[in-house]
Amino acid sequence: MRLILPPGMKAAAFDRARQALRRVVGAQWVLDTDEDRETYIDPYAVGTGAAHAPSGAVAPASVEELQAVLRVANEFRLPLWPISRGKNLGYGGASPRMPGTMVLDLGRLNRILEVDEKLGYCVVEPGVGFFELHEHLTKNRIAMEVGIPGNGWGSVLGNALERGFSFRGDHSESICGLEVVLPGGELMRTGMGAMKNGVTWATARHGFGPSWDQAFVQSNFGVVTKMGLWLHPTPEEVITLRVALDQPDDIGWYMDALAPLRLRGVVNGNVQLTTYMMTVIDSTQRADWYQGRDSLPDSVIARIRAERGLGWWNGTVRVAGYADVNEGNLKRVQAALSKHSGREYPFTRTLSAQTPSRGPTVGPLKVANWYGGRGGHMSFSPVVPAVGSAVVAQFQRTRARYIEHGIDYSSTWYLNGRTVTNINLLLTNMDDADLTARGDRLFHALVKDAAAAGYGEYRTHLSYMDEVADTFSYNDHALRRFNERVKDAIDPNGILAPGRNGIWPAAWRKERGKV
Amino acid sequence: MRAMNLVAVAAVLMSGLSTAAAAAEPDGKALYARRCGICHFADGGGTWMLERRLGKSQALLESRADLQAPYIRLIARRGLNGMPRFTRVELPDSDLEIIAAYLTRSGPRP
Repeated sequence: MRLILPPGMKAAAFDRARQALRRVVGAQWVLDTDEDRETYIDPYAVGTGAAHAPSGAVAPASVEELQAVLRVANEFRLPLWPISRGKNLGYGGASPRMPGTMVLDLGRLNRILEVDEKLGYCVVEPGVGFFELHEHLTKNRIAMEVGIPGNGWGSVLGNALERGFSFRGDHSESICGLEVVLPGGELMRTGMGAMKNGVTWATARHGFGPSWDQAFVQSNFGVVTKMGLWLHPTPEEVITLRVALDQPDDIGWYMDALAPLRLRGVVNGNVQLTTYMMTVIDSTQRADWYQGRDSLPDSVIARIRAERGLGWWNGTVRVAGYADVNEGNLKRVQAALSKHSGREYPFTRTLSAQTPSRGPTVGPLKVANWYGGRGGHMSFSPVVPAVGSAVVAQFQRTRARYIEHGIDYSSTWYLNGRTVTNINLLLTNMDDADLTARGDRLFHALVKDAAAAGYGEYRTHLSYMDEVADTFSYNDHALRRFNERVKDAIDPNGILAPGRNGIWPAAWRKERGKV
Repeated sequence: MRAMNLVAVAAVLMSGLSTAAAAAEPDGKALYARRCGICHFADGGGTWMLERRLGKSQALLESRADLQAPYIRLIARRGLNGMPRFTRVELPDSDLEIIAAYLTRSGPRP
């Protein structure tokens, strides 16, 4: 991909910046050929990806090199977009929000610095992936687990900074202690790590005074170079109930039945409920079932369900811990469900001592192949109250929009105690311009509908960050003004991740809304 | 069944990782297992898509006789259909060359 400069930056200044960066990291780690730029383009972009095309990438090998890179960026006003492993697939991948921004690739900082089995935490650098951490835990027989998202290819640290989640909940809630390089190059540690010899950095959530860990999540206030992350003790036994619900609106009573148990810890993992899609993508594509341009008709969905033995909704409920405690919790779950459905559900028991936990996979990425061609996916992910009537209303509203735009409805709901995060997949084929355009229009409609109902998204693709940020508009966008005052104070040149999550520094604020 | 397949893939991958750790020098087979195996071993998504497009005989990359290094380099850097691209940070040129050399000789030769 041809070179696109940051808005307003002259070619000569860009070349001087590149030369300075080469002196810092070595020529081979400034990646700025046409092919290099191509590799950082979002593989599942809306359109060609040019709207978020980077000018290149720079990959420091140490915190010291990173600090020097930031100093160069400030000198030349070169915007940088930090990535950990660049696998934020469905949300923009490795691409920056603003075209011409240079990717700051932290993949070479890839050490597992510490794992404490007794206290249940690890300290990792950005380049450590779920595969590497899982391998480390397994190989060293450490009876601790990390929450693994559907796409296990990515960075442990990067995923937590995006508020990625799994059945273990929101991974950002496991963050405890960060090392951050501030936009000016200054090195800082949060919480107890701010002491010269802070021993409880990764075990005590707060230090003295304000807690800043969460300020570096989904933000552009600093580059996180180390993260303390709490691990989960491997349970003695895991009971997994398999549930299939026959009618679309059954999701309402189901959430009402399980939310109180999730809130009380009887069910100690997010409850997951999903449509047929995540099963059939394992071995089929859309063309195997239907050729029409409209959303899959009910008759086709019924055929898929019949052939695969699926419910309209399908899911699991996980009861994990000591076997004797599980027994009582299982009874409570079965009683809560059978009160509505009049039946008990099948389940499996797994003893952790006999069966190792399932490691990371990339299986769910098969969903990108659904429509064929250069496939891709995005997610529309509002957070809804854990109240059955609210869930049903949001489901019906969303599905009606999918049908209106002729897109196949694919949706997963993750019940936490108080909320349900609803991840709706927008699957596409980038070779099909009409389908891509309809998907884009659908996304805009969904954001608008959810905002009207008072529901915000927990995370979104680069192309919709400004639009979603705009829905957080209380008191004439007071939160955005606050975020941008902080941004301007700590990053006066605006070099770090302009536009991330709708936070624009003064230097690039006129770029807001451009995609 | 699906869960079992995924476990099988993970097990194969892990065996590849162990091989890589044991070897003093990274060899092509071990690097291929570590970098590509999760999608391109028997139960992977890449193998499945290749089978759909080209037929069973062309699905497993390690069993192909027609792969050439320049093509392997190109696909790794540019991606193909649903396969994302690999940057030179994630997959350095030196590793890609070893993998390409391995795949050009792993299958049956005339």
